[in-house]
Amino acid sequence: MHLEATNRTPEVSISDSVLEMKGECYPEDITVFAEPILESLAEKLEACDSYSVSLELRYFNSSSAKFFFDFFEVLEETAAKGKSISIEWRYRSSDNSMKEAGEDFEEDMEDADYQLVEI
Amino acid sequence: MSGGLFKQEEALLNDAKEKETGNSIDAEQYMLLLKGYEKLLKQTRRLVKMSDRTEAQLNLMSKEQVELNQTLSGQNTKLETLSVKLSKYLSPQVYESIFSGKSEVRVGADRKFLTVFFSDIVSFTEITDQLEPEMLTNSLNAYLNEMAIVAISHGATIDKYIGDAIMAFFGDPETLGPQHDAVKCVTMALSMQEKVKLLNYELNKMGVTRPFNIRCGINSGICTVGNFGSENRLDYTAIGNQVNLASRLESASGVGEVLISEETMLLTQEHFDFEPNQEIHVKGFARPIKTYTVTRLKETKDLSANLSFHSKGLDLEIDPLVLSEDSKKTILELIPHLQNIIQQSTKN
Repeated sequence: MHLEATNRTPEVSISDSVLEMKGECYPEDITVFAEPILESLAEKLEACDSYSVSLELRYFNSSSAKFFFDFFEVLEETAAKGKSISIEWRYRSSDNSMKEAGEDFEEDMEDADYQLVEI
Repeated sequence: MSGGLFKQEEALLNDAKEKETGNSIDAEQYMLLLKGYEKLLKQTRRLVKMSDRTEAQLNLMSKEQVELNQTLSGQNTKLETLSVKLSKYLSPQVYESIFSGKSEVRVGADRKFLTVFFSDIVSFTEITDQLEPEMLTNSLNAYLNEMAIVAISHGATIDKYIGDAIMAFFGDPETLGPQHDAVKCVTMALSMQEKVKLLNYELNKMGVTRPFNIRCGINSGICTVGNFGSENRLDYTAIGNQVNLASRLESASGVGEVLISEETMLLTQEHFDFEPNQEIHVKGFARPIKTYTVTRLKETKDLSANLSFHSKGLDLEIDPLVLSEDSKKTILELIPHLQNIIQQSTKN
């Protein structure tokens, strides 16, 4: 699955072992954007033993934040079942806002390997 | 729109409602609801935190934007002040052409049909010897200022001042066509001659006892006009044999006269009367150059002709070819007012 970036949504690429997301996220309808991603992710996680996620966001709105809570919950639940899940939250060194958002999401991660990566 | 965002939470709530019997709920359902509530509370806290952070960031950006706008506004004011100062070093047409982006500020020139004008004050060197430096500065500046006003009002591009000499031309960066440009140039020269007479009255009051007399030379032809110099220092000017000829005509002109070439005469003969003058020899021209002295504006009822009157207490310039609708309306409104002024001044 591959979604090109738009003015309001990030580029998303989902393969059997890796999910990558890069850009800004404030879609008009978060459900339209989020549901296919969550469905595809659930399929991939079901089929794999280990999975990597790389997120590099510059901005996301409140609706997207709720989507990310659900997104990370799926990953954490999968890790809790014994699968190897690694997550990279990539942020620009000058972007404190994205760094702090990454730290907020990290609080829920116990079994998944969650890394904050400054770029 | 985010209707499906809370799908899980809504499903949990609906499930609990369905299993609820009277005033009781089973323990398992209660625990699910409790867990769901805890999760929602946690997410809500974080969302509020994120939202506050975003709001704080927006406020900061807004403040920065206000500061940036203030800085930009200050810089714009500085730029405007600077451009007003700079405009005094340029002809209005050249200034407009550069600042509107019509002309590129780079080394380069074009061949264009221009009518070129030169003037200088007769025996100015001798006059300067008789004047104190301050008086000289004041009188020369008063003279150049008055001439510039006349030149600009006729649409001339003032090329440069060389001491007491003035070089101007018509045809670039704006042109009304070779004929109209030439007519405007000759009209300007005659107006300058009239203006100098009035100025002498003022200069005499300042203590300049020897009157200024000017001579003017005009030629029309293809010239090279544009920016000359280096990338660091450009000079917008016109050059070529036709420019040199205009300069030579000025040197050959009589005191208080306007001497023009045959080319200019042919372009303006419908509007002015001329007297043939001596032929002159100019370097770069194989044959002798026929010259003509402009004697006066032809008396004509042609509506396209300029109206130009300058005498004590009267400064009038009307150019019907470029007159705007607003200006026409203003003239009509002024006519009764002018009649009142004449009647009042006659009574006094």
